[in-house]
Amino acid sequence: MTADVCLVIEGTYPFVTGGVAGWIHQLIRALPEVRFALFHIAAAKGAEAPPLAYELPPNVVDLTTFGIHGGDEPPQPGDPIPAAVWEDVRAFHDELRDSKFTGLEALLAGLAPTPSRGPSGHDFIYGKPSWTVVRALYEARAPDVSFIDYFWTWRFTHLPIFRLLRAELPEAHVYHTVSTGWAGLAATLTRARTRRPMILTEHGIYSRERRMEIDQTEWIYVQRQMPMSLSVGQAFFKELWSRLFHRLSQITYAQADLIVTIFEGNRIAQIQDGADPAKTLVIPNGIAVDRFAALGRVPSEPDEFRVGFVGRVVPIKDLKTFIRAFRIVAGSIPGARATIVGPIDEDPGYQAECAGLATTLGVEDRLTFWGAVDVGLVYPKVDVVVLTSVSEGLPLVLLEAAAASLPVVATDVGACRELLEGRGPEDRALGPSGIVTSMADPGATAGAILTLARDPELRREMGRAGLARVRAYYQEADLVRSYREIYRRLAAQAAVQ
Amino acid sequence: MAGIGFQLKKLIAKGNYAGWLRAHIYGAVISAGPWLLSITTLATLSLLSRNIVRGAEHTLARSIIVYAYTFSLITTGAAQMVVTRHLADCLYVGDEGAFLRAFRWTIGTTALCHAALAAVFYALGPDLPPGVGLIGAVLFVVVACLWMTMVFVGAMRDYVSVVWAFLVGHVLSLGAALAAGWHWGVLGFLGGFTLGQAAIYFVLAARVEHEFAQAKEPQRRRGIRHAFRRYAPLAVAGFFYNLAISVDRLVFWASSEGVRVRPWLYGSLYDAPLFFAYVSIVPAFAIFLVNVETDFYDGYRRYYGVVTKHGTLRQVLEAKAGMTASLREGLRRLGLVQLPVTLGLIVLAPQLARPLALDSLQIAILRAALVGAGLHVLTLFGMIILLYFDRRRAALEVTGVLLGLNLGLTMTTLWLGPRFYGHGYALAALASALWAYRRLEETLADLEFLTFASQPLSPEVEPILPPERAAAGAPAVLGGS
Repeated sequence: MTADVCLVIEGTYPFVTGGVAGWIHQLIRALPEVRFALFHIAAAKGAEAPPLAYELPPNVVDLTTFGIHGGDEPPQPGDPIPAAVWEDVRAFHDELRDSKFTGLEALLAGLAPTPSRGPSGHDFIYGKPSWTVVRALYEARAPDVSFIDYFWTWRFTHLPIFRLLRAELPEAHVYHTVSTGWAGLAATLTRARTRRPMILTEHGIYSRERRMEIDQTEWIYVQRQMPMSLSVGQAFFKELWSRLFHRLSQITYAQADLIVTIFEGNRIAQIQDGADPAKTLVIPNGIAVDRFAALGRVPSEPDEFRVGFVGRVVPIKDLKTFIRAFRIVAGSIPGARATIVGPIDEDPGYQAECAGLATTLGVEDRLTFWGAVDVGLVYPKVDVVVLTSVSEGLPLVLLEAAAASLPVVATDVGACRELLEGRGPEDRALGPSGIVTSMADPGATAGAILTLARDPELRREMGRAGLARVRAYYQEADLVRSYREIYRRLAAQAAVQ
Repeated sequence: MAGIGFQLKKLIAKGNYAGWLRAHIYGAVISAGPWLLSITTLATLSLLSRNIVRGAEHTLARSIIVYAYTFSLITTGAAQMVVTRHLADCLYVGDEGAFLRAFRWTIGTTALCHAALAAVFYALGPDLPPGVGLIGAVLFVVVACLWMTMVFVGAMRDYVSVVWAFLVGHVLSLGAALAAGWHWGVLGFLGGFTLGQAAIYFVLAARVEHEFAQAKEPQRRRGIRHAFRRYAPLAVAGFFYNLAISVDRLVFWASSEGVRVRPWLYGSLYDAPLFFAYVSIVPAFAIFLVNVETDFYDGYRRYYGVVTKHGTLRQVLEAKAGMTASLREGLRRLGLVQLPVTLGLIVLAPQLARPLALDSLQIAILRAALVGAGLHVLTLFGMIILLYFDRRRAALEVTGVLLGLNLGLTMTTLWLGPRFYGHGYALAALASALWAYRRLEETLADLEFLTFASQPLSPEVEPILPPERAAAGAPAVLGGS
């Protein structure tokens, strides 16, 4: 049975919890009349899947998992491909270099018109024609870099592509990929082959997140037996990797019928990266505002001031900056206490470092790790919510805090400024619902917390503004309505074709 | 482990003709020495022993020795090739500790298997004087173990020990056979000969044991049994090759030209010309060994060095061109020396009839066999170079061509008549040489593709390079008896 929507997902729902996974779960549950098929891409060998982290709603009719990494390609003969098509493959790389993506449909029609046709993974990795293409590209573009590194970088960057060329996505009226990257490529290939409509929702900007990761990586690839740091030309190979992800995003932008993101800053980034502005759209995340608005308050003890941190204990949240900031706050306010709420098992090493830092700074008895608990129990017991992340999309915690009428201190990343100060003029007129600080700056974060600690009236005012803002712009119902409408429109458009 | 290439280069580095000549004589001695000594010993024995062991007994003794050499080469062919490769793999990853374990396993298995084979063979052979079958069996086992030991000493590059061991051992074989034959007839003759061969084996085995007595513990990796499964094509190639170099003589033995000694022992007029033809290619061995150990091996190492040490593709191709040029230069030199020798012998063949005790038909066979041996040696060298580039399947094809054609065409020549004797071998050698040349040209043309694109993605399969000197020691196995 053809599903209504096939969600193409990379390394998250329904196997890994997190912001994006929660969003997907929310969307599926809120659209019970839509039949969803899930195509999940894992950085694993083959199709073995980890245990589910979510209970699948009944309207999920299919779950397919697909591994893009792994070991050897079995020597399986593919279809013979005329030399002219291999020349098209080479020429397509020139198109990519010039940021043109028009040739994809024609290329696929010649090379691999369906997932079961075309060269096998083994052909691509070990075959002479693809060697000829790689060699021609090397000679034209990088004749002075180490060839063995170029070659292995090509293999590792392209192996997932060759795998995905052979990936059979579930049959659906509309394809909805929840990122660019490999998921974007899988959806793009299906779009280019079947002409079924495809939409993209990007929470974080995939290519930029990958670039950040790559810049921080010591090893670009580990070559068998001799792990090798590329002392010479390392920048070149990092650039190759980054560019690959950039191109994947661009290809996805070019094929998508609609490019959605969750806040304005991301939309601008997408357009900078080549997305057609006419296809872009912001649909912010939404929450069930009333649930949080209805939470009561547990009054604080006299002289007590309660700071809350809600998020996974991982480096990207920069909890260490929070702990340093709290140390400054604690120095000024003897009754200050901090509560850290969120899973601590994702990066136990980092959690231990953070706990160690708290001890070193002498605040360990005023700072508690609560682990993963229901946030509904947390918001009534804090006076301010703090976020110190170095990277964010549109963090749910800020919506929840606002719905619970809590003021917020947040770093200037992702949608935080839009969320605290307003997006359009009407939104801004509601007033600020928190204080935006610079990243990795404990002094600034502490200063903002102290400002709020010393001014109960300001806290109340910001709480009111926050609640008004989420009521107006960040309702779950609005998000659901938007996607229901998009799915309906695209499915109808597909039916007309 | 003395690097033979290093010593050769030292000789050549003297920069004069004498140094060059000495290097090549040295090369000839170490590559063909053991085999030349074996032939010389046999020839000397048959000349000197006539007055000691007479008539049918003499032929019987000779046949038992020839059998031991011929069949042990065939039965150890597969193991020689696989063990050679296994040792090269061990050396490549620096696991010299595995040598001793592999050596003992190999010798134990070889001895057991060949004892079983010999037991069956001599048990079935009727009418043998008591004890002769037993000594024949012992000789068979000893010689088989000797071939396998040569693989180990070859991997150590210790050719000098081989040559000395063979020299001493053969003198001992000769002396003991004649002395014991004088006293105890055919039994003593065979026993004495076997004693000398056993001495060679024990000297070389002690050499291996001594060399690796101090080696560190073997790494915990897959052993030699795994190598047989993994290198099955190599095993087949080794078996094919060793069978191919004897199959024409076996065909003659079995034909109406064969000389029956006992119900299952043969010889033929074809044997002697073939042996002399083999002797004619000693110069080619010398040139090949010197070239492979010096220029080619340097170029080979430079090529893979550039590949792994992050060279650009242009540098890789330059290194390939250098290596290819050294191969072509080696081939040119080989032709320059071998061609006049072979042609000269063909022209002078009639004059050789008397000193070599060959009749006119055998002279005609000798002429064809001289051509065959010249081409055969090209086949062998092509195959060795193919193995340097890890082209196992191509090597298998080459040996398959040589075996199939040598068998088929030799049978055809028997059917066509005496005028064609020897031409089957020559044609088979021509075809296999051309095949090897074609595969080698393809390999060289595509080398960078093969080097990079054939590397498997998963780590556990193979090292990044074809293990160096995969074919080390192979020159020593040409011919036999």
